[in-house]
Amino acid sequence: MLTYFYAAYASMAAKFSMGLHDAGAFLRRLAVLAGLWWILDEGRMDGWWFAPAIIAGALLIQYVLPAAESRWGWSAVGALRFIPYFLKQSIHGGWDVSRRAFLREISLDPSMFEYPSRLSNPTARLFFTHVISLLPGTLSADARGNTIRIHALTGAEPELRASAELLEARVADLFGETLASEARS
Amino acid sequence: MSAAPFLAVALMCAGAFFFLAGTIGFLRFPDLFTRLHALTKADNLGFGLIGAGLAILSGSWAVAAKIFLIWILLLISASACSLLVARGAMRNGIQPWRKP
Repeated sequence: MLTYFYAAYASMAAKFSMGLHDAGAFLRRLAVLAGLWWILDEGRMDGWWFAPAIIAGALLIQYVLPAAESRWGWSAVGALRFIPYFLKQSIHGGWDVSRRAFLREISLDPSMFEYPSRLSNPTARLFFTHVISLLPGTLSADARGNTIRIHALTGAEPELRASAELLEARVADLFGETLASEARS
Repeated sequence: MSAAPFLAVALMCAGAFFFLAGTIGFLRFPDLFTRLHALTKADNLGFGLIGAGLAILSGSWAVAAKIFLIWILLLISASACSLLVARGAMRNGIQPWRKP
């Protein structure tokens, strides 16, 4: 099996003149794709004749999407901190909206405000825009450049801004980015 | 008899409750934006809990991982759809509902 992988890699490497650096990225993608295959196949091991397709996929990503690598930098420690926060907030958000749905009087006081994001990485900003909608009381209604327009179910603007800033800091942590620290009015 | 099936059923009942709450919010909330709130939050938690219950019942790490991936895809599609719907409404001049 290993010989087979090595032979496949060697022939591809010769064809595309890949260096050592590419080999690391290739192995990482191979591991990710093999893991996904294992998951989609629900742990059965009889589908491994498909391995050449996995290798072709790994190579395709490498050569069709060469820019993808740099945009997806994220920190494992940041992820460990982000996941419990996200789960806790999801429970809070679901509970909050359910409570309001069942109340006899609908208690909503919606507002809309613009939030200029300090995240410089476009992927991190996109992620931030999407997570806003999943967390309690806030929804991204529009996004142009750095500015995200947030619709809130209820609450005062300073508190809403503060919670958006906290989330933004968590996203920056997840993507290994340092936020510009200057205070905003 | 182990406690796992009971835990799984409890999680799935809680998930069904949040789906119901999301649907009721969707029907009762006053405008498009607030209705999107009801859908995204309640479905995130509702599917998360039902998926957690199913993952426990499956007794397989690979199946649990698959359900987790489905949840991630659902989160991406829920937030992307709500952004597109809300953005479409904003750019077409639909005013959000305000407390009277």
